[in-house]
Amino acid sequence: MKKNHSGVRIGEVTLKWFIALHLSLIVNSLAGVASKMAGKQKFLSFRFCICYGMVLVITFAFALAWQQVLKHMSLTFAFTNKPITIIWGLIWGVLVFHEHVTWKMILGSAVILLGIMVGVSGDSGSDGSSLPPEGGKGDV
Amino acid sequence: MFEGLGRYIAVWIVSVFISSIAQVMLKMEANREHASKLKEYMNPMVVSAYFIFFLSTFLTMYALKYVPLTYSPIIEPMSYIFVPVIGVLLLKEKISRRRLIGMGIMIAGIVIFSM
Repeated sequence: MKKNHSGVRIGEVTLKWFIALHLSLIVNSLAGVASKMAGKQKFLSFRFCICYGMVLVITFAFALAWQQVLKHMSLTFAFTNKPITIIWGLIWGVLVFHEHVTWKMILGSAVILLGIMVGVSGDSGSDGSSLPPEGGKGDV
Repeated sequence: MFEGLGRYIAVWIVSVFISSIAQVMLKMEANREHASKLKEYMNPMVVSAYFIFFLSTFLTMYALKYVPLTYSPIIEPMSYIFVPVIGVLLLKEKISRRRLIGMGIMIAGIVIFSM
């Protein structure tokens, strides 16, 4: 982290857009929470529709936010930060659903995160062709 | 094989796999020239891809009914393996050495997680 005339920067982005990037990733990770809540409801019941609707709204909101965030940083920077979402999945699982987590799961997740970051950070990001999936669902 | 929890984990992996295929479908269509902006979106390939994304939300939800959300760190990132591999097979794209190393680290992480 370094400070210059335009304020605090993290790598190539300003602190403001770095926070925006990570807030949007946290929002995206909540789609998993809503999805699990929906899965627990009776199919097509009122509660199911609310929870599943949240999945769609969150996914759509993330797609819009991601597009804005990308205007302020390179694809490579954004995609290198994006996999942090998997750690949020772990956190929500424990906090919201009181799931059991072991040290091996935490260590394994950290290694996976590192693997994704190594793989993605090497891309030039010129056309994003070899970058991982964006928007949509199912990706992290 | 694929009994109990394993069956639901398999459903989740299928969900990630089909959405990876959909990603590559979008990429295939993005590589083509289109007569109009509308046709960039309203063509069979893109519409099918979005239908697959929609379908995968149901598969994931079905799987999450039983699979803990804490398993997401090993299932969701599989798209980082599926997409490049499908890209190689269908689009003849190349996988960089750095990406191969990243995939190797990821697989090691999946093994540690599952131990």
